[in-house]
Amino acid sequence: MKTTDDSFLDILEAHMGVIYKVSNAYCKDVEDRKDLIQEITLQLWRSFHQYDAQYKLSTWIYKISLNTAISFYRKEHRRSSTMVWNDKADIRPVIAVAAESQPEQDENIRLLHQFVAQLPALDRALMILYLDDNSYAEIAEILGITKTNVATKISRIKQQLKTKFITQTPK
Amino acid sequence: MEMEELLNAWKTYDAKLDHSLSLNRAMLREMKVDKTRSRMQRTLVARGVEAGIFSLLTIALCVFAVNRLPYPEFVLAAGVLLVFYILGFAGSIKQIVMISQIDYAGSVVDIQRKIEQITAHHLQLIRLSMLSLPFYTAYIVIGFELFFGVNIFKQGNHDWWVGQLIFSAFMIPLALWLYRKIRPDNIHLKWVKNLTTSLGGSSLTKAVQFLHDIEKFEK
Repeated sequence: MKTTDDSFLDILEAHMGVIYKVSNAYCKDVEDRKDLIQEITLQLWRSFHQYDAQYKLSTWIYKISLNTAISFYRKEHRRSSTMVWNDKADIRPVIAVAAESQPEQDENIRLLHQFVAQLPALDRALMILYLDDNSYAEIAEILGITKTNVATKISRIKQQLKTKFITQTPK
Repeated sequence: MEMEELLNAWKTYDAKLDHSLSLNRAMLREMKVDKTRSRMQRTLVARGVEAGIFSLLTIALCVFAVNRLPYPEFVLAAGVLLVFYILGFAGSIKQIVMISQIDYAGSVVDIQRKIEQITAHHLQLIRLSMLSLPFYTAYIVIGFELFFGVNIFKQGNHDWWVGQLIFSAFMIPLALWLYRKIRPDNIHLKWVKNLTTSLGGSSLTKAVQFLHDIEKFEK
């Protein structure tokens, strides 16, 4: 029988991509990114026992990851550690893998990251959710705005990005 | 790059990330969560201390008033200040309730608003202090009695009192105007921004600005 720890780790592993994407979108600095990944993991762990199975797991993870990332992004003191790791454990491999996955080599991905990083905090959350193929209804639920508002904002951000692509991409 | 390419770029990026994740499981099993206080818990303690200070001031003013019941001027002065301290105490308690209700699994707009409202709490104290401006005489009356044992109400001459009353009356519209102006949707006004920064620091101004951004995002 699976323990709570096992279940949590399974969920974490299945959705680690979301945590990395959110962290990468809100932290440019590698050290900050490490801290943010730790903090999101901590918040997920703290909220895990309150998770209501009637809601989609991915929705729960997006909400916690984005809320943690936006708060973290806005903090002035980014280095405060709220977790300790067992002696045998080491956060570095997680970060190393995430860092290696940074798509600097790929120009399109680099440009995309650059454009997303230029968006204000809430628009950035909206764009991550949109790029991750979430429906408008899911985005509306995660962000707490109406579907109509989601559609309007996505259309506006897409237009902004299109203009930026035209002006900034090499011909 | 077109939108289609943008979506493809994100998918490529996503695939690269997912590919690397299986390596981390063994390590994550070793994770232990510390019980040290989070930033929000520290804020909770700070608000608790603030509520304690307000309640002590409230008690002190009550004792002051009760000990001077035969002197209506002291009771009135203490009563006026009591209103503001009780409001301050209620504000701190409200904050404590808000902090305890923060759940990161809530919708982004709602949670971010709550977090920023907590960070911007001092704005409410600044607004409250503006409202108390016309009643500054109450401090003078109580201060003279407490520190010098002088009943300024009886000692002050007629002209002095007339001057105080006129000045206080003049402060009422000013205080109301300041109270209405100093709020998140007016943070774009230079003087509001400067006043907020000088009284509450740049972190308060940033929090207020973000509250304004949240309001705009919801529209």
